[in-house]
Amino acid sequence: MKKTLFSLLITIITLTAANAQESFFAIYYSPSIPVGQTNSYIDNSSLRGLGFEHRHYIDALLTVGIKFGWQVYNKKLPDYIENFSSGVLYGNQYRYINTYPIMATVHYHLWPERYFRPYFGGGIGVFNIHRVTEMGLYSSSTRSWNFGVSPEAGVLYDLTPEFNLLAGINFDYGFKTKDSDAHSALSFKIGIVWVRL
Amino acid sequence: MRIKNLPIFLFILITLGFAQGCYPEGAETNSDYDLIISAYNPGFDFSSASSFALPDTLIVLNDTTASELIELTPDQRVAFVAAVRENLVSYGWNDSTNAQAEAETIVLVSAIVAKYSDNIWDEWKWYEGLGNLQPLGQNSRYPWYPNEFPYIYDYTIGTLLITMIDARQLPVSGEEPPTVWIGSLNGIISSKTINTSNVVSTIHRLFELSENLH
Repeated sequence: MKKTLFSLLITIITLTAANAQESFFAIYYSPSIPVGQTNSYIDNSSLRGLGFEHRHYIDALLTVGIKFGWQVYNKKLPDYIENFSSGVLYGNQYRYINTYPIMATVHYHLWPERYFRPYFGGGIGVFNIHRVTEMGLYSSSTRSWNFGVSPEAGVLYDLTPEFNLLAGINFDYGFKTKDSDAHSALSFKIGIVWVRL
Repeated sequence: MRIKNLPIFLFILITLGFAQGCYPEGAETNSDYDLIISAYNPGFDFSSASSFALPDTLIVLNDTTASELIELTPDQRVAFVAAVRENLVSYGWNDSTNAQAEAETIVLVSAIVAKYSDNIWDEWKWYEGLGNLQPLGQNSRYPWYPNEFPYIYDYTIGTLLITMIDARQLPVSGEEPPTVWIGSLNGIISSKTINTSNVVSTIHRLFELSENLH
């Protein structure tokens, strides 16, 4: 699976670099809301999120691309009781999740002739997820690579021929692995697009 | 600003804003690190023991390489030991301190000021206040933790440690005695201005959490 994904990423990167007729690069702020098993661990919304994305137009409507991101979730559980097999810990517990999605993407853009252009599509790839739990001076952490998908809908708005505004919403889902829970979150993106003709 | 520079400006702005901390809102003060640990030996049947001997003396172990040394006043030492005794009695344990030979367990209270090191134990000699119940050689380490206990050697500055030993299974020579329970208040005495009532209430909380002693 990893080899297939890696090959897919390389193919898309090569395509977007070599055959650029029109493409864009986007950077965006990406707050998110954890849901599902992620929400069970940390139920706080995250205001810390960042993403980078490149899309290449195959034709006037369809793009392929790649995207990378980083989201941080955290929660403090004051006076928390953590039971273990032969005892208990009591104190403030701090939980963190750092999530790094790496995705190959496909998007379909409507109304190419207009200033305001909705799009929908999604990504497929992996989430690198680093979970850290701290109590007192003790810390435990796990890092996992979860295969995942990220369906998305959004809009582009032309500021100038070179620059667009981007707004969108993703549902990030990293499938459960043998050693880690599934990751799921509703993430938003708002950013700037740099169009390359 | 020319719009051509807008992406670069936004990139810097977003990145700086985001980079304010990948571990946000973590522990900020010493008290945020305070931690109560209660750990017992799962192989010990607590229903088989109902009495304890608790020496009045609280041992203070200062690691001389620590950045600051913590000293407990005599009143504080008395208060902390008394709180341990009060809790044990309140949970149905018989105080056999005045008849040590009959005690099924020995409970020891110590204050440890140490860095992140277990070497301090090698330097220390066994507490001599237990009279005939002190069968250990000078090289024994105190306290003795069975391997089953997690979080054993990572001690920090200012820990109040309560150890329960099975007095019926004391080794003949310098082997490690059978520790059946430890209660550890990590960080609770890290400040030079120790709040006695806060420590006492934390000892009460420790015993509330230690259901195997109830």
